[in-house]
Amino acid sequence: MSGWAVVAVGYALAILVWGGLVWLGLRGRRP
Amino acid sequence: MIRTPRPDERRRVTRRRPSLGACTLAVTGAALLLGLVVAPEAAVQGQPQRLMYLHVPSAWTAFLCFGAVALCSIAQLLRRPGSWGEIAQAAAEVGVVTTGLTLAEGSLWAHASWGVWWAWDPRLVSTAVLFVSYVAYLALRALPSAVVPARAAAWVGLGSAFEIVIVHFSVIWWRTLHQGPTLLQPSLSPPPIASMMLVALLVALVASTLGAIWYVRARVAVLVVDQATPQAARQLVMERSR
Repeated sequence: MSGWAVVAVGYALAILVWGGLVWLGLRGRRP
Repeated sequence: MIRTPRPDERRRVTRRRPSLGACTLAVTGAALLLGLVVAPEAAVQGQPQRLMYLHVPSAWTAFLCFGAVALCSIAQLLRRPGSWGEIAQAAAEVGVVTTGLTLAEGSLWAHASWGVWWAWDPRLVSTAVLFVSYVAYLALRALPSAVVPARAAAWVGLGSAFEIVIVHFSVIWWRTLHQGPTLLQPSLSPPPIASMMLVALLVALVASTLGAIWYVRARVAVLVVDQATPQAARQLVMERSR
């Protein structure tokens, strides 16, 4: 992988993981 | 255990905090801009070094959250009034996720700079053990209190905090592939990185910390509602919808 591809994968992973945490943890917030 | 939320818990649930969420988003945007655009390319490692702006804040946030779990566990063991169990659980969730992210980002960075995805290195192994310990802590908390009392889970939450010290000092105590601490050097000398890299790193640290605080506060509200009696939960929902 080129340098920028590694960076893109890393940042996409971080956004997905944080997004998943918020979605799973707070989906019952406004029942 | 089913119980009715106390008035202070009810106030905490019903209070809205748009400013913290907005602040977190703004700082996160700044961190992305600084890390991806403004910070210079590393002379030796090239672009993959930009993973530092994710890897280090993730590790910092995990340490912070596991420290919070330890403090809440102490409060629980001392039977202090408050939602300590819920705060500890929410903090442990962020800690586990950010530790997983630390390992994943570290693996990507390792492959780019060391040529391997994983090495049986003290820093990597101790971080993996930390991850497994807090997954176990969350698993214990998920079990009914009749099987695992809350105080037993609190002891695990407190005991696992010692691993933070092992992870942090692993690069100092043992020979390791992993580089030494950049910000928290034992000699307290200035960080050996370019000033704009340092600014990007510090902003990313603030963004990650704010994100963790925002999540923990919102998640505690969910957990308090989940554990409330149906009548109390209905009242909380009605108060929130006003």
